[in-house]
Amino acid sequence: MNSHRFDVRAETIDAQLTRLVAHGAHRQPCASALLRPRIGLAMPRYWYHVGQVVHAAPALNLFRAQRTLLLGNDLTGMAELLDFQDLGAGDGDLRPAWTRIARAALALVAADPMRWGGGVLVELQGERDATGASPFWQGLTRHFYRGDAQDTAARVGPDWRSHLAALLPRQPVYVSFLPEAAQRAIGAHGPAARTLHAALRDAGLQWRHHVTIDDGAVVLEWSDGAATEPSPP
Amino acid sequence: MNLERFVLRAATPKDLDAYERMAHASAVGITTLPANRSALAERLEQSAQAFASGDDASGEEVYVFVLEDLEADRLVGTSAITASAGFADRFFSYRNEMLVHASTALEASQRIHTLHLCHDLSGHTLLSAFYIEPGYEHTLAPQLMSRARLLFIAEFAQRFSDRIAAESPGLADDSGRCPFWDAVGRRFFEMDYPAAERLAAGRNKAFIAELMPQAPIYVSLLPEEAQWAIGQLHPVAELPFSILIDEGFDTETYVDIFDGGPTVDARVAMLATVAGSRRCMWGLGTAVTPTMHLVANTRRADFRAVLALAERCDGSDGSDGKELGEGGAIALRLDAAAAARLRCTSGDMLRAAPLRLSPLSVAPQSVAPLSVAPPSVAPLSVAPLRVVQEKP
Repeated sequence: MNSHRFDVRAETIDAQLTRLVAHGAHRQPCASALLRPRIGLAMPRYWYHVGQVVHAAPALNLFRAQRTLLLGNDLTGMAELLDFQDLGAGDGDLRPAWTRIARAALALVAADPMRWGGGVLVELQGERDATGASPFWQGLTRHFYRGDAQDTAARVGPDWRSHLAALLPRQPVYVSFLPEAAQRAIGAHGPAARTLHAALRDAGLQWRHHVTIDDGAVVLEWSDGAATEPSPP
Repeated sequence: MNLERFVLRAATPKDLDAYERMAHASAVGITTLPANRSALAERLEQSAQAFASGDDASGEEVYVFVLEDLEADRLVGTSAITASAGFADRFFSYRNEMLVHASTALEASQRIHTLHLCHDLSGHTLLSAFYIEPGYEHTLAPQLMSRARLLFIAEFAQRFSDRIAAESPGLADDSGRCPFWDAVGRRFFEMDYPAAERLAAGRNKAFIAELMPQAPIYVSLLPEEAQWAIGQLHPVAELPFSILIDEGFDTETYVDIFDGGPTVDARVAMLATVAGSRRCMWGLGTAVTPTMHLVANTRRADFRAVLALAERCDGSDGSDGKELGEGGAIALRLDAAAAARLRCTSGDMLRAAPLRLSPLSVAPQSVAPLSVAPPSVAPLSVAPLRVVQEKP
């Protein structure tokens, strides 16, 4: 995968957002994303941590590992890469362009963690069923909030999920209580996110057991080694 | 059926044959009555020791009572008291809790029902193992079987907790399919309910409970059938359950961790039979306005209780010329036949409580009023044994 033929430039939009644009061999802009520093400090951000508990009884020859979801603000203070765009002028292969953008973001953050935060995360879009609905939302979220995700996002604005979290389970949820389809959607990404997922993995981002609270989608993360120790944001 | 044919008494090891017969009628969900002769013999032995011992109670005691039909000369029911639930370990229940999650920005609020694994009832006295032959369900015998235990507790209060609970079996069908278990326990055990019960029977129940989910269960995530089963009774338990509710037990708070059946709890002193009971001295004589009473002797090792028409003369109004017993004790006018069933003699102390039945606590084909000639019941000999019980 050759991503060196892309040149990434950073444009400051405002105090919160920086646009990273990848330019192709002929200097045409072909892909972009936004980088936001130190998220969740003004308005809390939430994710589920996918954990595991083991119920074991050697006397009964019983060993059951169960996945759990625990709502939290684990990734507060990291930088977020979002809004990946295809600017249409590329050679049709977005994956190397997005990889290049991600690498540029990692380099920026690593160079100045005080400004950007201790790492980078990207939330991907989650699994969808044939009707376009999220099986995770259907299996879990719906029981805690009866509204529709898109309607709510349109009505409340980009912070809508921070408000949604107030309605969600505060105690660990045993994944085995969810329908099969919802279980499968945990840590997955939808077809629309396939290319981006591959591009981010190429750039070195990994899944570290966090998923989004609305559709259970994979959250890919990277952090500077020095910044992985727990520290106040 | 003539009330004079019944006496509830402390079980003895000699009752083993009848006790085994009753245990064999066990339905799924009973672990205090294993259908195993040696285990039953041990239980009767343990009970006899508990009744006989004058030592300070340790909490380990189980008191087994049997209901004798004196006319038929056979035992037709049994009930028990466990002095301290979860003795030497913990007693597990799920506690119902309600939360309201709200978001003003989303203009939404949602009532959230959760089940919390808890040990709240550890150390409570536990009413358990209620069984009566079906032919006697529609008599007052179940009232005697269930409530006279409370006279024993009132009389020997220092042996028991001041809080009390009772489990009832939840919904399960004859094949052992249990909606609550299938939705909850099964996900952690991969076995059906009867298999889990068999497992639990031979072991400390806490051992099993530790394998259950420790975090609260969000009820809305369970299948509807399982949600509906929470706090629902197995039909065989309706009668003993209704008696407990009539006594004043609260049914809102706890459910069984295995089958979701209701676990009721109360303060002992608040229960109708306990609150209404008084120590009295037996006075022979014809009662002027007799009413139905639960009457027990006050002997621990030879505890006996009956239902009888009696009259308490506490002289409180002092106007009707009813005399007090010797030494200022309350007198209880009770006929000689009832006193004989209690094996008491003149001057013996009794403990008596009026039996006031709400329509709810009587079996559907209700007995006639507590009067002279109640209707006879179905033939006793042919009716198959059926278990009506509170669980351990």
